[in-house]
Amino acid sequence: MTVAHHDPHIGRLFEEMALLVTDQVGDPESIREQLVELAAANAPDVARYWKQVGAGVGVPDAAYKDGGPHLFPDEPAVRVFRTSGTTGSVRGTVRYTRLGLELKGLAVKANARRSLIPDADKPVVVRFAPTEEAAPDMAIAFDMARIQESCGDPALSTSVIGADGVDYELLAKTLDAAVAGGLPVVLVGASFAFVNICDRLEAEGRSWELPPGSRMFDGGGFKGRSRVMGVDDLRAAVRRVFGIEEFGNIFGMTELANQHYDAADVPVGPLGERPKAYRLFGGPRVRDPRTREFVTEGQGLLEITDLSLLDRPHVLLTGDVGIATGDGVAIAGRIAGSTSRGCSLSLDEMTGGR
Amino acid sequence: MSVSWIPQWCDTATESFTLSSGAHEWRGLRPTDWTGTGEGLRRAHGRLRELPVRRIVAAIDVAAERWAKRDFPERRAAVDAATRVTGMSSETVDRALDAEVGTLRTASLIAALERELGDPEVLDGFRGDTMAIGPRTVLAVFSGNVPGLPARSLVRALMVKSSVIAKIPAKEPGFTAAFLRTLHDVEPRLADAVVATYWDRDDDATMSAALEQADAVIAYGSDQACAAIRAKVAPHQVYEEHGHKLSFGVISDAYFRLHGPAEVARRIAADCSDFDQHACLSPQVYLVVAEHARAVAEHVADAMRRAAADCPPGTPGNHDATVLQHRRLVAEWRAASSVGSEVWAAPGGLEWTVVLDDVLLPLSGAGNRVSRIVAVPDLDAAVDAMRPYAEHLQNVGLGAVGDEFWRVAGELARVGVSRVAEPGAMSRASMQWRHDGQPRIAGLVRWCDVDHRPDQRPAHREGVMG
Repeated sequence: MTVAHHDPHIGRLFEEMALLVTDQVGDPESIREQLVELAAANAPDVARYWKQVGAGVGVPDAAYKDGGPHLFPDEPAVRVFRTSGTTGSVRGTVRYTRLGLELKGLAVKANARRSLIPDADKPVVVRFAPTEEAAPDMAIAFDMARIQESCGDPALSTSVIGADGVDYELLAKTLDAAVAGGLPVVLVGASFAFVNICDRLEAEGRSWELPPGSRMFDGGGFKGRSRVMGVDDLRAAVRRVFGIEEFGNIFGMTELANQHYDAADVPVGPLGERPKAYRLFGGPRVRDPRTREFVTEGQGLLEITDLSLLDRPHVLLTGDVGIATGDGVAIAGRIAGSTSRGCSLSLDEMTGGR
Repeated sequence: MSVSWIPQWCDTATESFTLSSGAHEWRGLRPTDWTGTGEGLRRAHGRLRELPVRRIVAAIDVAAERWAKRDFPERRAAVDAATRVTGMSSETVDRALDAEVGTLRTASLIAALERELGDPEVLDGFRGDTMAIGPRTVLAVFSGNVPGLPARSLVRALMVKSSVIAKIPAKEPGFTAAFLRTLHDVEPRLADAVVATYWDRDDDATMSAALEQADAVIAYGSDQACAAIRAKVAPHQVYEEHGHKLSFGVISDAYFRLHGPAEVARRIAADCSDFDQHACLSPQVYLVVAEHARAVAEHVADAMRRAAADCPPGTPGNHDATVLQHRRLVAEWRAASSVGSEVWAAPGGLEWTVVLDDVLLPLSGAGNRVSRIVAVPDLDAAVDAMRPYAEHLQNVGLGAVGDEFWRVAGELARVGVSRVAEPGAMSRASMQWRHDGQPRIAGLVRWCDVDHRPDQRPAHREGVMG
């Protein structure tokens, strides 16, 4: 028996999920159980999958390359985001209903308020991501806009990615104004954008000493990119160019609603990836590769629980390696494409694992 | 026991290296004076040239005969080391060694020489008006995925009377030096012509110094690793490459009917279980005609279970286990969300997995005993499914009968396949196979032809060595 989007049960569930992520009030286990029941009722493929592998085991991200499970297929989508797609892979889509998108917005904003710059009032948020208008199908554009809305100084905060790429003049003008006003700046955007921007500005000999309290948050990593940079190397470049001393990383995926911030500034992964914590409203955990049970130490399959995700199953196997530590879980690169032995090659490695 | 082999004549300075896997460590020595080592190898090559090729073959045969016995102490030590470093069970390693060492017997070595050179004794001197001369020194860079793999190229080089610098594989360090110790007991002049050691992949200085001593280079490894070596090879150096390769299996309607589902499944399971499916010869996918695909898959699940009982699967390391569990869950999702797909798996463990699907993509991959059965309408569709991978195609287990066998084998050959095997025997390549599609003995030699007619020309100038 499927549950419709307009069913009162969904309205109540929405309220519970919203309270949990905004005020951290509620019973996450009850919400999790309701989300398991909802997915099993509304998505027969998810029900069949869980029957085979255990209820609540994450749906592989590869599922969304084919459209994936959607819990309210009859409800009109208010937004459709396209997944990024890695080398050789197909780009998928994810659909958001009205309630689902609203919940995503609430989650991203609440998380930003808690984690982005808790000790400063309205920093200048500079987004190295396109505006929503320019890229309506990019989840990162949506997320960055919500971050700015919730935390940013309304006058100076802006996206510096235009139709022709980075608008360096706007970037310079914004940073100069922040420096002049002594306003801390939060630079937020895709990891790879930071690399390109720092390369360019360093080559031109341009740099800033941004006011104390300024921070940089990158996300997305380097999957599918030709160049890979360690966390500390990237931060060193940002420090040289922007004079920033505080850093963080945001983990988000188009398939997920919420985002996850570093829990500790401790290098854990092979590139120095920092751990993210499991919170009341969800987060990363690691499944043992042999038993599929959750582990608190060691390497395995990364699974994200997202109790702010209404339109799809709330658990996702991202296809990444997770490393569990006492501080949380570091997201340590893709699982596929890393197993060739000498001259033996597997088909999934040839196609980027998708 | 050292994992390096440094002949006694090599009195140049050495440094030690350590290879490790988990808590286990293996130590060896590496020459630091490569010029001196190269000169010594060329002198050893001179002594090797004095041996007739059939004496060389006979010595290899004796060493292989000792290694064919599972209780031979050197073999036991090598098996123990390989189980620790590869995670394979000792039975899997033993079977891999049975297959590799089994190819090094006189009959198969002579057959390989005859196939590629016509007359093996052209390596000893003029036969009629022609003789073949091997390189003075071969540099062989091995990668470790199959226990015993270095034996093939090592033996080919020695048969053409080349001295060898062997870079041993980090992931299977024990075999090469152990086999050379046996060879030294049988015929010191063979083992004395080999230096087997190790250096890190990013140690360009040692790689370049070793390379300078070589007239020929044999590279095993990933496409990237091979490309890095190829970039250093000089125009005068012969170059042989064994880069990334992919293998498939095919089952036709006639083959299915001839052998029945249980036997076909047994053969598929053997191919997917040998070497724990780590070899490039192992099938990534078995393409099975659609009407029998489900029956085959169901029987393969049973056959994989039997194969695991008969020859225990290895214990994959944490990362390999993560890859395997991920592949399995991706396949389970595919099975839950599509009609033509299903998964069978060892209950409660990762020992074996069978995946039935009706499309090649999206892929769940293979390795560590994952048998992927993909339904195809007919044999032509099977060939078409492989075409996109032409550049990397290597081995096809072709289950076809009569005319269809030869028709499809011809198609596969034109697409890029270099070996057509019987299902169930995909991992057991003979020495006669032109490894990855090229003559690997003839490819090393240079020929000299006498192009005039002197008054007295013996059919064979006895005693004139190459």
